[in-house]
Amino acid sequence: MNLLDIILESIDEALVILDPDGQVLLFNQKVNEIHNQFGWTHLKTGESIFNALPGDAYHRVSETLLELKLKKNPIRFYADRIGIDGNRVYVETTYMPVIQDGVLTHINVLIRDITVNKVFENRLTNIASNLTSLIERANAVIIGVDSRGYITEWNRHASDVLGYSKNNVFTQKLSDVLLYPEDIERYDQIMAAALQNKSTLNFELNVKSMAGEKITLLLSASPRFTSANAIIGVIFVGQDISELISYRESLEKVIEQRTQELRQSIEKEKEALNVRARFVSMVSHEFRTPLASIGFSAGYLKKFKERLTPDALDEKLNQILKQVDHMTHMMEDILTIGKADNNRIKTSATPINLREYLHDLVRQVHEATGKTHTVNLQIDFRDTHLNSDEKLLRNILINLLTNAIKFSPGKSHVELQVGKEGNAILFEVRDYGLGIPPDELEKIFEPFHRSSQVNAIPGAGLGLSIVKRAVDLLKGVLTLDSEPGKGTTFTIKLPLEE
Amino acid sequence: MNVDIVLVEDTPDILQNLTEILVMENYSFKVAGHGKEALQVLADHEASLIITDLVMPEMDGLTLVREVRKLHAWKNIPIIILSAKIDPATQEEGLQAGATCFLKKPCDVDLLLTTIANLLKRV
Repeated sequence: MNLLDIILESIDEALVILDPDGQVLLFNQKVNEIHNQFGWTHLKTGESIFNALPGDAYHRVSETLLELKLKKNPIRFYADRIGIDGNRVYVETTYMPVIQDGVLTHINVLIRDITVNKVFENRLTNIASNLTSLIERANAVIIGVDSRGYITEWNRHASDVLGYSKNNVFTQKLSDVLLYPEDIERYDQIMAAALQNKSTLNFELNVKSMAGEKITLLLSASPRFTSANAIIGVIFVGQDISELISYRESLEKVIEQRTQELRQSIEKEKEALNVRARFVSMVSHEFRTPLASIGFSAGYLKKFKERLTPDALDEKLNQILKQVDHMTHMMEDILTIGKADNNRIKTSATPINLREYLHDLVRQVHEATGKTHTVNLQIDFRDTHLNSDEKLLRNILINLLTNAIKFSPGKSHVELQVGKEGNAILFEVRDYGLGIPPDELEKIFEPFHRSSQVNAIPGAGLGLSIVKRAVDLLKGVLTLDSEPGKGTTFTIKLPLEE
Repeated sequence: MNVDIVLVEDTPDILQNLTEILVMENYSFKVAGHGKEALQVLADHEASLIITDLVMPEMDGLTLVREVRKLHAWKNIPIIILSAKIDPATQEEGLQAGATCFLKKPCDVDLLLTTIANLLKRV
């Protein structure tokens, strides 16, 4: 082989040298190797190239030759064809005109089998396409930004969730388009970290949708790498958790509400227990005295009975009976209070003949209190009858009248006035006695309270507690007005049935 | 004026019970409704024994006992606390304050009288 042949055979490409009309002047073996792949005839020097080409290639080749003659510029084109083994072969063909003294003398045709490149290229394209499709179709929000924060990736889900299309957001900064001012600092930190190869996983970020709504996203931010492992941006992947957030918030609100309610319930229970404990303590204290008195009285009788006159004996026994009486009344009052507090007292309304009822009641009080005071009764009420609970009302009025008499020692009378006010009946019990000091006004309705001014006046101190509960049961209002030294007026206002 | 006993008690019924008992045994006594009154009575009379309740208005029994013990003249006068409050802690407190003994209300009449007699004998 001569030097030319050696050179021809050593080059990578397949080379054919043609004259301007397509006659084969020179070629290397690689050309025929290519022709083998397609099952084409081998080239022969001195013969037309068209002899070795398939019919479908004629047109292209002849056009190329024509163009070369005219323009005298290199022409390159790519083609692919299925070889006889069934594989696709990709070929790059370059026609190089050789011009000497302005004349096209011959054409160098370089043919390169670029199948490997092409296959690789296709594979890459496929992968890229698959990935793009994956990203595009993923059921997650995927947003990519470059290292400066400009949006470079925006998938369909991002559009669905946020409203912006790809066109709206590309070339804009993510922070400008989506973020609220208060979140920018945190976003910048996350961006900076990702660019330093530190991913941030599962963080919540509020963003503005195109419609202006606040959407909460749960995102992970990680760096994007080039093939050379350089970080060129950040990718955010996540989902819209706005619904979850709002659900969580409403749950939290409900929990807080319930906790509040529970706390209040517990406070109420504690208070109720306290009240009960105090009451129990007060009750036992109140019974202790009469019991102690009975104890001493009985002891006294035991020791000194021989030395006592029958009258003295009798008197002592009466004292004991009085104490028993006192305790019995206290017990009944306490039971009444208990029943009222437990809502076990049932009120029943019956028509009461007012005049008869009140006169009877007044007489009862007058006698029970030793006839020391007159009870002036004044009725300013047109109807003859009142529908109310007869027993409760009696309890109220007797208690108030008895108190009025008790707390105006030395005075001659007390008053009971009955009138009408709007749609209610008014009972006023007035005395001209000791009155109630202002600092005791609130406390007088507490069980066992006894006026500070009246140490000598006996009583369990439960009457007003019962009056208050009775008035509540009748759905009435109890008010009082008092001036120490001048007197006291209790007013009961009871609603009249329609 | 000399009296045997100063009786300090605010509950009228109990006071009556106690005074009746003391009368039957011919003791002379003065009564007071609370601690402050008792101190006044003690200042005005020579007494040999104090019987006091614990729960009283103005000044309670324990304070009374402490006040009495503070004064030199009354450092040794016997004091009986007669109270319904009989728990060990209260008893301890009472004796610490300087009371001589503690009796529960109501107590056996004989017990009360024997205690009074013994304490007066010592004086």
